[in-house]
Amino acid sequence: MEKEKPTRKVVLRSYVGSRLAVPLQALIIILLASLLGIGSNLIRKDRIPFIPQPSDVSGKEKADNAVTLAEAKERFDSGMGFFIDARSADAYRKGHILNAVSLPEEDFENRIAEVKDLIPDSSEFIVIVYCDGEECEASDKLEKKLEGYGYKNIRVFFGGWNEWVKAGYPIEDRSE
Amino acid sequence: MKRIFEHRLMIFVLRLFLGFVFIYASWDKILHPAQFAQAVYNYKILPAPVINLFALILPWVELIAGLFLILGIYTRGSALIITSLLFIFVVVAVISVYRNLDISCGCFNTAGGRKVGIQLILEDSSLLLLSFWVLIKEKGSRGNKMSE
Repeated sequence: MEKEKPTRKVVLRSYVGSRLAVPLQALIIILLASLLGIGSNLIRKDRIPFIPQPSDVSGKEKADNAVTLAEAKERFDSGMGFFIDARSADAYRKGHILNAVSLPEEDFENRIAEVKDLIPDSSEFIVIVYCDGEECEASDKLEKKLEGYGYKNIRVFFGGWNEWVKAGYPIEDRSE
Repeated sequence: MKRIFEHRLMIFVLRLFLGFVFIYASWDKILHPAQFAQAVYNYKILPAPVINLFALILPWVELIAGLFLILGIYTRGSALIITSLLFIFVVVAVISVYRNLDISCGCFNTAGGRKVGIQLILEDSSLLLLSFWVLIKEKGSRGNKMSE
């Protein structure tokens, strides 16, 4: 691998560790990094848990900004929730949560102007965005876009349209 | 002779460049582990239980590998790590674009900003080529004169 021309001293001075096998060098760096990463997290004030609880990181967004079906329904009943349908205009037309407003995530830039005056921006209200269900990402994305637009009280109803319909809660259905 | 000289110089410049890129990239993540963990989570690739450990360790790997690449300590090992990381970054970015994830890359700034997209893939690919070049051309002990 290496040529022995330079004296050993020079080699050691300028290329510390170059005699070790390359994967071993890499391994040492990773071990060192692990020590520093874990060690620094032990002593710093804003440390994060090494192994997050299911409700922490994996559910971080959910814990922070999610509403469950029950919470969504409660908001619906009390009138203190403003529902935004993040799905396509087509899906909205076929059926949506009663009184929800359509704001397709993929068409956000074009549609936000007509919707923004409707969206309440007060701490008593929460804005609830939803799409089909757990596996769709439109509500998540829309939430971020709305936050980028300056709205604060945005929540995601991860259960979405599917859960709402299944529960038999009020919808507006024009498909029939 | 001149060719070799230029060649070594080039490798050295590449080492400096890649080293600084990685040190710079590591800094914000080291300062904000929670935000970086969130960025990792958004990629929806790693299982939740390992995300925090990954988010704690990866930035330090970047920092040390970048530093060592510049200083000439474990030079080829550092180049191997940086090349592997860039390869992984490219693959992950391609997967994310394919899955149509609209997420911040968490590359240089955990506060968001950069989006994962074609531009990022191209940038990371270019860096990958450069670092692969360093990895195969860096001969460990031979370039020592230029590195000082």
